[in-house]
Amino acid sequence: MSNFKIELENIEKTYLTKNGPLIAVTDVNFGVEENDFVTLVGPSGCGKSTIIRMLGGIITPTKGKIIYSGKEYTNGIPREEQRNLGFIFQSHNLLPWFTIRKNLELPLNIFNLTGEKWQKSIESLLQMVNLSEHAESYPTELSGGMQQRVGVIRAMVHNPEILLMDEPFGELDAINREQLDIELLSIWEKTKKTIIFITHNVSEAILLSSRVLVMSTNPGRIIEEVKIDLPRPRSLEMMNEERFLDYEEQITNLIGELNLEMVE
Amino acid sequence: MKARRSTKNVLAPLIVLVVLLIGLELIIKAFNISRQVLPAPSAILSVCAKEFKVNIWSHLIVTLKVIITGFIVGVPIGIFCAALLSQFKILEKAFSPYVIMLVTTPFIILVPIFMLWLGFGLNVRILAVILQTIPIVMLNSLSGFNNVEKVKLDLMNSLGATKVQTFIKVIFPNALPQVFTGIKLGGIFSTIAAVSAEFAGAQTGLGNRIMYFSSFIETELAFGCILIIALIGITLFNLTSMVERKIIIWKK
Repeated sequence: MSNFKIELENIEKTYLTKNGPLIAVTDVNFGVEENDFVTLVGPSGCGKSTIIRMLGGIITPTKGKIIYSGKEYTNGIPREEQRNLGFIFQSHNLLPWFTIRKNLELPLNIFNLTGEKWQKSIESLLQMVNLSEHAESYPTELSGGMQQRVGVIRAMVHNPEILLMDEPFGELDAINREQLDIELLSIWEKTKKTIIFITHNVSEAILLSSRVLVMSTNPGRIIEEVKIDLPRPRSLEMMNEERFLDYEEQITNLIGELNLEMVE
Repeated sequence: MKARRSTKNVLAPLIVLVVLLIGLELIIKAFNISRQVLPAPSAILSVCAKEFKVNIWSHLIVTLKVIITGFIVGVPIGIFCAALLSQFKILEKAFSPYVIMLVTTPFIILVPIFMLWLGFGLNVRILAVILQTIPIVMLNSLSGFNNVEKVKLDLMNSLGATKVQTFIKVIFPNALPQVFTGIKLGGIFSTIAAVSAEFAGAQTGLGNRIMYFSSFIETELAFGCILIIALIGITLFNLTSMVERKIIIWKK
């Protein structure tokens, strides 16, 4: 019996296209322990989004099984399990017709969570990201960074154990992204969620996670696992340290080799 | 700023109207055009004002009743049918060619047949209005319901939302601009259908009055009725636009 919170066994996803079946990812095996922060990094088209979408129950694997807290799922993630997940999208993905508060109430409505306790959870999350006074605003009235913060806390209002983040800060500029990375780390230290994070930005992956899974294309698969042995709490200053740069070089080289493979 | 824009919105078309009316008046006077061909705007106004109570008012009420009843019944049915079709692809495949066929069918050609079933009362005309309104509302709503960003559906999937929850929280509000386009067109179609049905066979209503006054060469009254019908159409359109602006507040 492993003590993984999340485990993937021989996961494969095949899409049917006009030119026949296309293998998006194959032979995906990895586990994530409770409270761990793991990043998947790789070039576009390597299937990293496919993996996290399978974990979130948005799509179903063609082969293999996903194991959450010891429970095995071969045919997609059922609703009861999705209650334990919070999915954060690449774009903030807020619903423009709802105010910020209504957007945050969405998971509560869907999961049928009523009562004072859950309303308080919204208030404290809003406070955590300093957006309390924007509760009644509409998403378009907020800046990009603010919208993305709401997108992050929306995935947390139902208090899930696991956060699945699909390139959440990919659309922000570098300064905003780094700031949100640091905020995310402090949220993680406080709440001790289990996080799987997708990015194509190598230094973001190193800054955040304890392990980086490096992916390759054609077909999408995980080729290497790099353990990040940097002390916590992490800070932006660490990004100039030698050890950080070594990791960066190591992972960039791994991805670079892939790109050469692709050219051949 | 906002107030100034809305005055402009009212003032600009009014100026066009006044210029048009004065122009027409002058041309008719200058070329001595007979009132049997084209009555002068001033004559239309004065004759209609005099005859309004006795010869127009009760017919206006009848026509309004037909338009509004048909519109109020037809619009929700159209939206509901579009919702069903959008959520069950097999229904959409089966029915969408007929929806387009129904949009292009002028239902007034069926009015004589409806009369065989329903008699000569208002119900025939209301039915014609309903049948003309449903397809155009449906067509526009359907394109709205089918036009959702995939990532928003992914969000609902990640929450394990049911089909009904996804429709209420995402698909319907997302489609509201197109639904309102459908409703606005529905108002226009309702007006056209009501007047056409009155043409096809009725003893009351503004459509019938146009034929009646024309046959007695009461051109001022006939043109007056035409203008009133146009006014009904514009009013219905603007009322719907007003409701639209009140509801879709997130789009500015």
